[in-house]
Amino acid sequence: MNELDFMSDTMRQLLGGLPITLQLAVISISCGIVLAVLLAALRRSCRLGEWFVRGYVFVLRGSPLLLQIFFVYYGLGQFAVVRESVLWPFLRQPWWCAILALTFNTGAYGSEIVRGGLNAVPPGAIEAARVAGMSRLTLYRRIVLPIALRYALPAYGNEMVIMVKSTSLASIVTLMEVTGIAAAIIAETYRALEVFLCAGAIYLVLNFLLTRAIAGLERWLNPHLRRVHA
Amino acid sequence: MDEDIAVSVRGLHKRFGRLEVLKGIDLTARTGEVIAIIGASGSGKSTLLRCIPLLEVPEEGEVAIAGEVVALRRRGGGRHPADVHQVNRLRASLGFVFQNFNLWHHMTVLQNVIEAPVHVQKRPRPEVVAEAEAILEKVGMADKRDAYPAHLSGGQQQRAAIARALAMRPRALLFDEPTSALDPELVGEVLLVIRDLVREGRTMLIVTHEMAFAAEVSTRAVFLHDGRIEEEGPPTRIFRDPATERCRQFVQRHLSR
Repeated sequence: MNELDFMSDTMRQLLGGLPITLQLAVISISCGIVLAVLLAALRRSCRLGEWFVRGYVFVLRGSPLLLQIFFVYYGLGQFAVVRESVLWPFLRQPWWCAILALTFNTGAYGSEIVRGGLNAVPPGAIEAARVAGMSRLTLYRRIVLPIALRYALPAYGNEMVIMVKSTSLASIVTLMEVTGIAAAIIAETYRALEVFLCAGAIYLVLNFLLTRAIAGLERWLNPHLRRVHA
Repeated sequence: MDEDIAVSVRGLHKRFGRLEVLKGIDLTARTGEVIAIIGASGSGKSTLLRCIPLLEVPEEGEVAIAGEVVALRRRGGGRHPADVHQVNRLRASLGFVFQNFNLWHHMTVLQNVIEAPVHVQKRPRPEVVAEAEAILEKVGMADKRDAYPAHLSGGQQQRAAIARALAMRPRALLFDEPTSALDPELVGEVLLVIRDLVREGRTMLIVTHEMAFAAEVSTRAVFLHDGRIEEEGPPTRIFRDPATERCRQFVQRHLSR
């Protein structure tokens, strides 16, 4: 097989792993956003909540994601309680374990980004909303969250890009996503350079599309930061 | 309930930590009155104004809007509104204009103006938009209705903020140093708008350092010193012939500028 044929054949095989890579990325990023907002809200709600979230962020941000995936996949099974629980049919599957670890991890980082966005909302904007008679819910829905989202988006875009790349760690718990397939092809062919180039190109394209989408969203949300064309 | 009274406060005390900013204030604004609140920095005039919509909750005393006393409850070290729905309802019946405009920067001028009437007062959107357009016309901002605050001058932002307050159909308008954050050449356009509102017979409380303006538009002036009302009366007396030495010095210093 000549070089070009090998590359295109490799690419075809790697793209077979794309659905799993996309599932891992899209699901963990989406659930991670919900988790991040909940954690940021909990942190603001009461003293106990604040300390819980601080501890959560400390552990999940301070330890390697790879270890967290190992912990969920290999570690949890050691507890009889887990093995006998209704969750076991899920927790024994590498796909669910990877989703869980990725979500918990990005939720921790995300909560810090959301917290920063919330803190950046100008007090004057909040005061103007309160003095207009807005209830707490309306205040958050109409003023605080829309402004916080605009502040948080650039940093959150960064986090999403990192998450797309982090899905490659799932290969270590036997998931055949793009990196997992790449490793398998190399084990067969010993042609590491070509295979890794192909795999890298796939992640590059994914993240190119993602960053364009985030930049578009930013532009759409921030017409007030665009230049005026009068 | 006296329908004729727009806003009143009784025995107001406000502390920030160990600093007592208000030391017992009584003030009543009847419908149609324009009350100028003057005094040196730190005399408590902004705090007094902010107590009316409960942006600051006084430790002692009561606030009444249109004769309805705001229910406050003692909890922890201080007091809190007993019924947030009551406070929100009463707040929505006032218009408050800040020194720093405090427009919502992610919304256009028109969106700023219709926000609370639509989402707080729950009035039908088309009606609110029509009214908002008329108000923007009045404050000279009709051509800027789709502009974002970041693209406006300070004077334009403040006029938009006044429009936002007017859209609430307020019983009384509260101005907290509306021109203090403006470049000198922009002060005039904002005062012009406020002067128009006086002519409409609106009830207003204005905290200001613009003495000549206060003397011209107010029906009553209140001079605050060190958390107390030192002197109050018709502007002709307060600004030309004050009874107390402190008020005389203050007015002279500011009118001569």
